[in-house]
Amino acid sequence: MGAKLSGRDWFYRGYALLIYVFLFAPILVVVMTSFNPTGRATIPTEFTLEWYSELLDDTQLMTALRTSLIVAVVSASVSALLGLSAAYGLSRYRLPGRGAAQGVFYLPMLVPAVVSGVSMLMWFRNINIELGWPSIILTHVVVTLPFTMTIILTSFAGFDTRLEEAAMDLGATPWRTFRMITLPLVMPGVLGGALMAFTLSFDEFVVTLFVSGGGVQTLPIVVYNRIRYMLSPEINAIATLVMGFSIGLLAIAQGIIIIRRRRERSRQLETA
Amino acid sequence: MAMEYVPNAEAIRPRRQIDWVPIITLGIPTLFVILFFVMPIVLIGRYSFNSIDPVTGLMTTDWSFAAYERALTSPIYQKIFLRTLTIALTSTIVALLLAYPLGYFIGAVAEPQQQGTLILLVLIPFWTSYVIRTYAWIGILQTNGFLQEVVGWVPGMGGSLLYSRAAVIIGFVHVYLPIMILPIYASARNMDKRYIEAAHDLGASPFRTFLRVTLPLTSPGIIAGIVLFFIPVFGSFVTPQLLGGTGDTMMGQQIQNQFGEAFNWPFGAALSMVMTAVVLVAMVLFFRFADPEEIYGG
Repeated sequence: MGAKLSGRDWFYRGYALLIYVFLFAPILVVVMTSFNPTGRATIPTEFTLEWYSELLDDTQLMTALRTSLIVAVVSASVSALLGLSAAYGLSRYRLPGRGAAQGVFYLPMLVPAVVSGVSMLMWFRNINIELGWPSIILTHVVVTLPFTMTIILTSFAGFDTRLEEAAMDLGATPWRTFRMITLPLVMPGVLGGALMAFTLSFDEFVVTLFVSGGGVQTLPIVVYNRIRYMLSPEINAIATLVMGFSIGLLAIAQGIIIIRRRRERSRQLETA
Repeated sequence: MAMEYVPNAEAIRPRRQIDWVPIITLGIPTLFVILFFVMPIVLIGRYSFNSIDPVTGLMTTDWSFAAYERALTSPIYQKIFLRTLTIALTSTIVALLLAYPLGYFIGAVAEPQQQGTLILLVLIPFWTSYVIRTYAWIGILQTNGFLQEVVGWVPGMGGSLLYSRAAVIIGFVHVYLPIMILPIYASARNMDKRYIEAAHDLGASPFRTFLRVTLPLTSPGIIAGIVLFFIPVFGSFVTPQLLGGTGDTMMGQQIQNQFGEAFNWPFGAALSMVMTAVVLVAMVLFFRFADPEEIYGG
């Protein structure tokens, strides 16, 4: 492919541009509307921050934002810990039942969210788990675990176990070996997995709708209720902030991937 | 004291004894998923064989197929099932037509240095909340919305597309298009482009080359894209709830309704099992015809 583009290349470029417009236009309309004094989805003639200032006074939305952040931090941490534990077990040892265990971890990805939601709601009622913080956090850990485990597992895939053996041979205890050798090497995967879990938890809606019990409301739940029963222009403001936040997290995740690749490349250069 | 020479490290750490580390590290998360995910599904599975006592209106724990019988034979629910399938398949086809040229462009036509950026641009919308992305379409499609006011053109429907089946399909395609693009991109990137050159050199027309060479080479990505797109769309609840009409509901909404408003748990449970079965069949087809390692590896 030289500098001169053929007709076919122009077709592809034009087509790609159209799809990107389709993917981004709705998001941009929301952002634009958040600055529109009329609060309607049109091209704004004036600019306002009114909806953002109203947002700050909206205690229901602000509380929901706080709830979502707490839920996402707690469940992403637990999910990353369990994912690390599972990935370590899966990558190191060939135990009987290993394949079955891995299959069980992927189940929450396969079952439709509505089905997961009603099932967990009924189960939590049965075993008397309070609908609210405990049920929401447990649900988010279960839903994000397949993703954190998969991401951390890829860190273990390129892992040189001779480094651990060297540490053990030099007299390090298994725990010290894990802390000083294993953990730092898989840390990018753990952080990447935790970030992924954070975002998934922050955006999780369907399962949460069932298990939240009404008392504790996450941000997507409040946004959904507002959308259904009254159109409030503040929704555009909170949506803009949330999307900016999510895209910022994606940038961080990409940064981690780039650093990891660079590290791998320099390691390969050293060994070559 | 002088260091003793150890000829074989294995000698001081005999591997014969039971190693508890893997059992514990794998066991804790497995137990967690069994306790908080497998057991709930088992419970719903059990509920699906219960029935409602016609006198008291309470759930009785007998073994009955009444809920399944109603789910599978009632004309209303057959219609809803077919409708869900129709909407999901239509969305899948539309998404495939949009995703294929783009995935192919990014994976096989674009400069390798640009591929990362182009894929990142596909991921950005996917990374943002789907409730918000679905909400965005309300503002665009409603009466006096963006489409009517700014674009000035709304196909049919007297100014508003909102609460129509078209709106639901647009919503699905927009929300899940990235998961269709990714595997197609991956298989386009991994295919051996020399086959296309060979077909061209042997005098095949571009159309024939596409049909006989490019399409088969990228088919793992197409199959993966179709399945990964179909599964969440078939089970969806949010998109038809926010964008669709009240007379055009999908199965996900019916399940929610059975637990939220109708309080017929056995029937809701049976619908859940039927829906899960459809998704699992799609998944089995996926693993039968596409190799995920081949698509995502490399």
